[in-house]
Amino acid sequence: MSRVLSRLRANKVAMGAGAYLITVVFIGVFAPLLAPHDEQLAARFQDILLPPSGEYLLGTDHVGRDLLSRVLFGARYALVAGVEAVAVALAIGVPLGMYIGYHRGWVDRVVMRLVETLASVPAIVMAMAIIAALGPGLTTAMLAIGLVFSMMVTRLTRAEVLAAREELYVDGALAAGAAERRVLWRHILPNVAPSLIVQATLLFAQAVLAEAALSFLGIGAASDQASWGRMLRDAQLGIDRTIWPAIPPGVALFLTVVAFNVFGDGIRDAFAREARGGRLGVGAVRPAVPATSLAATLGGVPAAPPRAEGEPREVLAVRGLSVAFPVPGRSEPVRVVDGVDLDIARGEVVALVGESGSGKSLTALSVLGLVPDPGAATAASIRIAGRELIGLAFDDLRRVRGTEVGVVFQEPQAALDPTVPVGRQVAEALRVHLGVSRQAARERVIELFADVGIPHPIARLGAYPHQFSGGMAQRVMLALALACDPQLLIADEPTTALDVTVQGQVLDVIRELGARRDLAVLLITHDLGVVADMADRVAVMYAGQVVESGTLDEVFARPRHPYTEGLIAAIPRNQARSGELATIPGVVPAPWDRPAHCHFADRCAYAEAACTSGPVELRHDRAGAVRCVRAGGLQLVGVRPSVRPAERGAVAVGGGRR
Amino acid sequence: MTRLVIGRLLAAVPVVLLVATLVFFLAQLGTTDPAGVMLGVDATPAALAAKRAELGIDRPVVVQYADWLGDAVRGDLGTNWFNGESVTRELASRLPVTLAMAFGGLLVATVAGAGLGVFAALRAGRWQDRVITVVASLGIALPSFWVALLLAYYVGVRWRWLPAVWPSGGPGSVTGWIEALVLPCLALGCAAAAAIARQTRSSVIGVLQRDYVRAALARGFTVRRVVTHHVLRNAAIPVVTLIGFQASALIGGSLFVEFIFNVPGLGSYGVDAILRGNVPAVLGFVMVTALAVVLVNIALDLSYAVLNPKVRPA
Amino acid sequence: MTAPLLDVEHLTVRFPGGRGRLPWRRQPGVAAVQDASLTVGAGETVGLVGESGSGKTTLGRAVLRFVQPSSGTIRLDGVDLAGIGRQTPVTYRKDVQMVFQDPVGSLNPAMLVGAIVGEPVRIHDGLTGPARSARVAELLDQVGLPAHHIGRFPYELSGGQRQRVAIARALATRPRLIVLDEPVSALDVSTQSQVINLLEQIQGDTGAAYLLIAHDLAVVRHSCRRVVVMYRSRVVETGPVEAICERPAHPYTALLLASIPDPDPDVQRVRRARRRELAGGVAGVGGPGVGSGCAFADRCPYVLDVCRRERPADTATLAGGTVACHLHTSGPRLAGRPLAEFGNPAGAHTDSLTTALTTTRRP
Repeated sequence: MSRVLSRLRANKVAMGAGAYLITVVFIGVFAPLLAPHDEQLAARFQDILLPPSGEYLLGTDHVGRDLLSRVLFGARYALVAGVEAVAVALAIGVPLGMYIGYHRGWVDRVVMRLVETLASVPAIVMAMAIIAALGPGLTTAMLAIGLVFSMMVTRLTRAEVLAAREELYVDGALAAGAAERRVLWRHILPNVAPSLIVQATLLFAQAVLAEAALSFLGIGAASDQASWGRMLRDAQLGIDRTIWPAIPPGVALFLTVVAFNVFGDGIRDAFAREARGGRLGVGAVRPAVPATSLAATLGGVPAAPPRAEGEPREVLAVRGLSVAFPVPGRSEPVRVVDGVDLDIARGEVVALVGESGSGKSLTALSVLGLVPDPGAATAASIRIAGRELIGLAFDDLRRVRGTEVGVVFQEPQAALDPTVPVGRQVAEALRVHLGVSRQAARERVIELFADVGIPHPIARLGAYPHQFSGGMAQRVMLALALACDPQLLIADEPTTALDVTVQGQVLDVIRELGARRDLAVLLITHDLGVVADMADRVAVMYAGQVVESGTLDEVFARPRHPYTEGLIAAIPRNQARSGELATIPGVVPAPWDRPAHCHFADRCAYAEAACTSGPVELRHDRAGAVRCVRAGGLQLVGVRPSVRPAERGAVAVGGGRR
Repeated sequence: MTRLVIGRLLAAVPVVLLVATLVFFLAQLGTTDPAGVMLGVDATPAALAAKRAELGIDRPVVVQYADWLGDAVRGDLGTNWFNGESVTRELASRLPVTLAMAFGGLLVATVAGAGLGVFAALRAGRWQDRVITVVASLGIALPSFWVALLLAYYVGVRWRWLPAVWPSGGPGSVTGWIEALVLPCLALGCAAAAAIARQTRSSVIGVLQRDYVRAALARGFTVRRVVTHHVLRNAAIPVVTLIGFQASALIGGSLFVEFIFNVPGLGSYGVDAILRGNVPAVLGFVMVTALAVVLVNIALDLSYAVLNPKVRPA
Repeated sequence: MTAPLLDVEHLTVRFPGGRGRLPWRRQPGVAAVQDASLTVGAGETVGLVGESGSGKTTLGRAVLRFVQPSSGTIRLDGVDLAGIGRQTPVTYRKDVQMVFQDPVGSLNPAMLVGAIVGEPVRIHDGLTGPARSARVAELLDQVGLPAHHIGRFPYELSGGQRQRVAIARALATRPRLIVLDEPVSALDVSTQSQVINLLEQIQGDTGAAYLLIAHDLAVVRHSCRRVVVMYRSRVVETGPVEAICERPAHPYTALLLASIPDPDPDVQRVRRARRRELAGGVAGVGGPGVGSGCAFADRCPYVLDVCRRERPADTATLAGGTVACHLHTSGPRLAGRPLAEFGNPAGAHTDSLTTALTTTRRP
């Protein structure tokens, strides 16, 4: 709650609106003391429709009453109206909505049928009908409005409760033994309350407007009561002479409603947990500020073994890629990805492996310049097929994206437009980038579908994404990615969302197509098994940095970084059990909590004084690269430990010889 | 698809009848005596009783209801208590005007609102977005009757660009119609446009953050293509829901706008009927408005099916 | 043999379909679990393995009485749950607890950690005030969380810490059986091993039995004594974990095992080859198999004609478990043997296989 209040306090506009509202309340309460003239009686019956003057600051109306005083009194009616209507609406709507949302059944069906039926009559009409039955008057009018609003509140509450009761914490409370009533009021209501509070504030505004509307028609406030709506009705009578008497009450009404809306929006924003910012985030990667370490990296030893002569095989070459996000409360943007280098050649599969928070996905996407707002990517160099991407114009960059690189995302259903048939989505890429005719595109799509192993490709052209299973949808994504014959395929956790028996099939397809088309593949994953299945070379990332890289065999069988060793040891394998699982104590540091020295030092069993003295460089050699002060001096255990199985139980992380 | 339409239309009938039933019994709660209203304060008890018998209101409520229902189903909505005219005919004569006004208002609101909303969403965070957001937030607070008043006065009375009052006898020509409708439609559409702009903006921003938009951009399409081919369709769905609500609100707003501009439409008919306790006219008015809203919602439901393949019948 | 703590027999859970457009016509329902049986002994850890659509989560929820069984019995300590009545008695909630998969969703975001863990303490032990706080601190200590977390909200904790809170909440009632629904799937590898070790330690301290629902056989092999494998709403194989993982009897189990990628590239190469052998057709969508044959028939590399016609019955395996597969019902010579003895699949129906089947077919 306190963080909500602090967020609200920070929202100056909302606080301004709140201050205005408090003023209105104050005016309403103390109107008799504040108003210079009487509300209902004119001082002199001949002072009709006077313009503003010293005695009447806002002029007079058509029977000589002071407009300013009436406007001040009008605040009372507005507030009372709002309170009455909202109170009725909440008192009926919330308990009813909670009951039917939670218990459902025939009561729910009956009530919702009734509510939906009544909702087809405009609210004002409904209120007028009720007033016609019960007689005019302010209180009855607000009662009518309140009844009408209660239907909206019932609907909203019911919808929120319906969603909330599916949440696992409700099951958790039930499992703990909580009775249903306790679950409803102690668990669901606090989670539903924020939306109700926002709605109540907005309803208040609507109630004030509704009261004004009904009084304008003459069926709300009585003729001499100074409701703002009534004043507007009076103003209309003299409209052929002057419009002025309509201005003060209209402005007062308008400002009050605006204030309620703005305040309500402010409350909604204060409760909201998602990040704001809707920009597309498709700009090119900006050139990095040259730093001393870069010179060393650039000068550098290639990360891949030297190629045989012939045409250049290098497809992707990244130097010094960093991605930074601004974090509230910090003056400097925080680096989530810190100075990453990558090299991938044709026909090669390079795996970027790490846990959550390592920055691996961001690394891959920022190669294409796809950094979600408000992040920003910088690099010294990004070359795809020999072409430098830094400083490229947007149009050129997007052409490169379309024709040289294909991307497969983690959740296939989410990455496909749900409203367009899949055949058309694949054809779109062909037609936009390669200018292919519709017929030719169709044939090519059928070929692609067959290539990725989708059975009955012709029949599947017109299907929608939600009609595919996970594995099939992933194949569609693959077809999409390969449509324009790219040189580089980026696969971001392609199998994480799939069942394990489907996973293998999809990986097979990727590997096969990669080999057949001589693709460079950048595979991002957290699963070491997937890496062992697919990759030729591996780069291990921890807390935004590459900590080790090399060939698959080197890194997995003879790791040189303690984190790699820990990761390998902690995985349960399909082998006979031998004691407890090895663990890496501690947690991955958040990007803004990363120390200036080795990021892994405080979890590392081999840490020494040298590890915490300063930042650690990534050192390249023939076998690969490693970012560890003690590299070369440690004997670490890989996937094929040479010690006997019985001894492995005693070998926790750091069991190698020091 | 046709089965869907027919099914919805059939389902609409009980809704409308239910509404009318509720209003009928609600009207019975009224304490004013129409006989007294019509004959004046010094009518004799005998004359009052005779009048009541003539109107048929001395019979038991259930009988009155059955009678009325039987007639209504056949299209006869009863007789106006105050001028003896057929309610059905009166409503029918006023329907085109209100329809034109409401439709015009909704069109203005949708085009302006959706256009501004998309524009603002694509420039989120920049000054264009801020301006539009502020204007929209202010716009939804504008009471339509106040806007109507100001428009009528300034544009109609002061500057005399457009008529402030509906021409008596009806506008003669097509241009006459358009001229007469501009101000009412503007007044009606203002607040609705603001609400639609806000919803469109937030809906488009939401879609822009979806994975498939990033995936489409990853495929190297232009921003324009991604927006027109992929974003708009997906963002339209919540906006369509809102348009449904706005249609209902617009009909409510038309009561006031017709009152101010003296438009001889359904709204002024209904206000008059309610104020005078003219029960058959009230019932007819409520039923027609309910029917209109239901039809609009059916149209919207169908457009959902067009926009969102997941809800189409398999 | 002592009666098992949890005894599930022939459980079927069917979800009714929703209402169609016409109110009198209902959509066909879904059978999430069909004819499933398993037992969990006191203090034992039994693994329940399957992929999406297998019904394992529904089975777990049925044990927790979150869903009504359509038929079959669930007995806790010999007492049939169905006989207890519609409302679940608090005593049952005391004995059986659950830890959910999603550490984010399973803790009420509007409640403090102390209140979340303290709720069952209040309900079952009736403690309030300082006595309750003391017990909550004790529980947090048991899961390795320092006491100051009592005043924190779930969003302030990491995934591993949240899962520990969920475990502490489950432990509050001193349960005899804890159903763990994929407790580590949503966690990072390094956190996974911490939580797995913690769960074992707790079992050692409290003697609670675990029903561990998972999709990862490697985790199950590490933690469980016995395993139940489910595919598309049915139990296809049960048995001791070592036997199943080394010598699976059902083709699906073999496929599962071959699909687990191993970090050792050499091992993975072999496994990949085996996986290719076993992959028959293309995987369909999850959910119960339609038709009367074996649900795995359309993917099975060993498929026979009878598989498409008849559903296989349970047979005992040599290792002491059960398997539901026609390969094993063809006679005493083959019944219950590990799959490897059937030779290589995939159209390479070797002569020895055909001979073996024809000579041992029952008259």
